[in-house]
Amino acid sequence: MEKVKIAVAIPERIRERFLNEILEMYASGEVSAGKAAEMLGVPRAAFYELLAENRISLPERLNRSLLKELRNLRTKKA
Amino acid sequence: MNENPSTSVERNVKVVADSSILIHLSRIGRFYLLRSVCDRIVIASSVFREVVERGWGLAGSLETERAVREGWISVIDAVDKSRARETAVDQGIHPANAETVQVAREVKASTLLADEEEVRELAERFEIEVVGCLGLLVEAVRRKLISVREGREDAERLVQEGYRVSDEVLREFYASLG
Repeated sequence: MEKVKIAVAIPERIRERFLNEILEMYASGEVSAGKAAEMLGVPRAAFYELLAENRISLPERLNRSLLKELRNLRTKKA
Repeated sequence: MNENPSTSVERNVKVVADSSILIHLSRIGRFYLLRSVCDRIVIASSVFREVVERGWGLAGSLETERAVREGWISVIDAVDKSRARETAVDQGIHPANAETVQVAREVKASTLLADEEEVRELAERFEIEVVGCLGLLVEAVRRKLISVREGREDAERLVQEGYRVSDEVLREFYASLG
């Protein structure tokens, strides 16, 4: 059976809600930056711009990983 | 097998980078530190596609493309692509992230530069040292490539540019700068 393509104009408020949902999923650690960018259909660099514009914090797991890395650096230095 | 003729040279490079660190450092104007600190770097072809091809015109694209042309960043495919795909499916992670770690394993990288959580976690499982933007800035300060004050300002700019680390991480970073 032949597929029929349908073009749908998504209202701005729905797009915005979708974007906010994805950003929340990223901040809570539910999806990675790569996955979030893919879901939004934007390149990774554009996703980081969205994080900046919306003042989204890094996921807690990433913060913990960075903290561990920096503490190890200090230990090595000592 | 990877049939790239320059494989033997590239296989000696021990630092692999993911897309996040290329983009973040570009956003704060410190992309050049990658070369100053690491000399040569390898990226997976999926990272090149993401940063340069899909992200053309955005942060990191021009710098990465130029670095590849200059030869201090090499782009390689994972030899065992099926293993990278399996890892992506088994661990539920993005295929490009799985490929980055696979490349790091294949070149026996001593260090993986990454600020993407999935990459960092997977790399640690294979006992590959992981360094993010902040760790690289600490190293740049230690080597006197940038001053302590510049290091602090860079961290603040990273936060403004969307790399919003926690206050605890920032405090630890400042302490690491000495």
